[in-house]
Amino acid sequence: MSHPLRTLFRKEARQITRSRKTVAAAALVPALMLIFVTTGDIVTLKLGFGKKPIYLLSSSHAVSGTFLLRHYTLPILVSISALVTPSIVMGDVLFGERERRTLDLLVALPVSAFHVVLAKLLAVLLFAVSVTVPLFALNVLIVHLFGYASFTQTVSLFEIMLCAICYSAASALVIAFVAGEARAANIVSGLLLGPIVPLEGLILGGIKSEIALSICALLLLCLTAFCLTWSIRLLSFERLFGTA
Amino acid sequence: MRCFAQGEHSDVTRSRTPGYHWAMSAPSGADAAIDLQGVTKLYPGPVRALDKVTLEVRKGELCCLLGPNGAGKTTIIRLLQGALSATEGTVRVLGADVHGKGLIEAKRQIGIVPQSPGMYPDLSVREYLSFVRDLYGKGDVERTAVSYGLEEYIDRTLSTLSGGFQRRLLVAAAVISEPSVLLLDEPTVGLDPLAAADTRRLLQAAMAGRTVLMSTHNLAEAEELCNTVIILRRGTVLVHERIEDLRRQAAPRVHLAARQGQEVLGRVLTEFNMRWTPNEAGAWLHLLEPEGEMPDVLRRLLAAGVDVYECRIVPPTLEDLFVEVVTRI
Repeated sequence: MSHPLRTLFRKEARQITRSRKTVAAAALVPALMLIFVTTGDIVTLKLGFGKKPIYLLSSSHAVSGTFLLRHYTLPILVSISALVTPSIVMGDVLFGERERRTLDLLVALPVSAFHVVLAKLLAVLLFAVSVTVPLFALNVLIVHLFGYASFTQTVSLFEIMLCAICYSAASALVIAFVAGEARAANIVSGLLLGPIVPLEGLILGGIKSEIALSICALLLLCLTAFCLTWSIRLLSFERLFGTA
Repeated sequence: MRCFAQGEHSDVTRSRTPGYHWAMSAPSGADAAIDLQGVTKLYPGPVRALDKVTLEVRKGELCCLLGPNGAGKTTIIRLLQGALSATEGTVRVLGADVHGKGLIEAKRQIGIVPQSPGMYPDLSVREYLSFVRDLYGKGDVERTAVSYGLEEYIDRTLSTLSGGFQRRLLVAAAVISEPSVLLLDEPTVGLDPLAAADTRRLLQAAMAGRTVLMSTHNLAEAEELCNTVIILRRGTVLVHERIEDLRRQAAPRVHLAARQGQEVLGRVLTEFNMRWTPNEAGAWLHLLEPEGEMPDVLRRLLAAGVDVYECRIVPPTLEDLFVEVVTRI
């Protein structure tokens, strides 16, 4: 890591961890999804609910509640958790800096827009991983304790989680560059993140094998690459200031 | 100082924009610390913030950017920071193109005081100065804090400092690495008179021996801190001149007061075919050579029965010059 990048990264990481509201907001959804909702689903299954077969996407093959949890619910919960955290934090470090006008302080220093953005991206990714990975580990522990997941499925879910974190952070970059103000940012955010869960639902519902998880991860990875390429093309202080 | 009418050209002009040019007589050269060549900046709208601006600020020059609101002062400072891209033309600082690879290295030689920026609510003065020092690669946090009277506040967060101390911190951050160029964007705007005077005192010390480009609305401040002036209007450079030369070029005014009052004094001056304007206590008399012409004028006034009890030659202030340039050119 270059010297300015390291210095900027340290500042961003310090600021993210000191922002209690952001930390709480970013950790809340993953905690709900990966711990409470998952535990609730498992308890429901253990109590005997969900024994009635369910037909997914007008399929002629009925699936059990256990299959639904393993193949459908868990990947969706993991994806939502991983998509929400970087999006919230990135929004705060990019838009917050613009709205508080502290970006004026940064641009006055010997740093490039590339360094500023990369430092923010790395700090957000590190924070998102450090929040979601322990919660995911707890989720894995709960699911394995009740015998609802295999090792290969856990690895696939971990892949989805990492790819969703990357996509969420990369899409937040695009949002910061194309949206001049908060309302536009919400719209672009909705357009970029909103379709992901229904899309995953379609893939998981359509392909009822573990390869569906890998396809979801690959899709997220491709979208990440697209957003990063787009961001690099737009990268400038002018875009960060929202004056372009 | 030379004054060129519209359409005239000179190879010694340092400010070359459409319209009139009161230009410095020295030729441009490699000693320019700040160099804008044919710069146009369009904002979305489109709004033409700068229109083919060409100017150079030499090493060691203490230059102020003056102009009414929307003249393009902050746009020039932001272009020099690399925060904006020019729609047309080139912007160079210390020889480095602001969008080239050498900008970061050049910016290590530049201290910038932005215009009323936001303050981090979660970084202390020590952390912020250390952050700035680390990015510049040199500087002494403790010594700078002491020099700028910030030692008592070193562990306070930036947003809890008063306006005056926030401005001190910005000046301290700008000079921590001993840069050779300072860019100051309205450094005292929004401060109360005491804090503004305090900031000016710090700036005066910080500016010594450096190249400075300072944008300001405050003409007294410009006069106190700078030795050259660039006057902008609607995105074009009207004047780039030494304040002293500009003042020398402009005719001084003579303040006259008579016992009979402004009306009688004015009527007699009009009868004498003299150019005058009223002021609070009497009249401003506009003469090309007041010292040579005034004895005769006074004799004629006394002979006409006007009892003149006050006669004072008033050198033009920067404010007078500014108004003259902006309204006449």
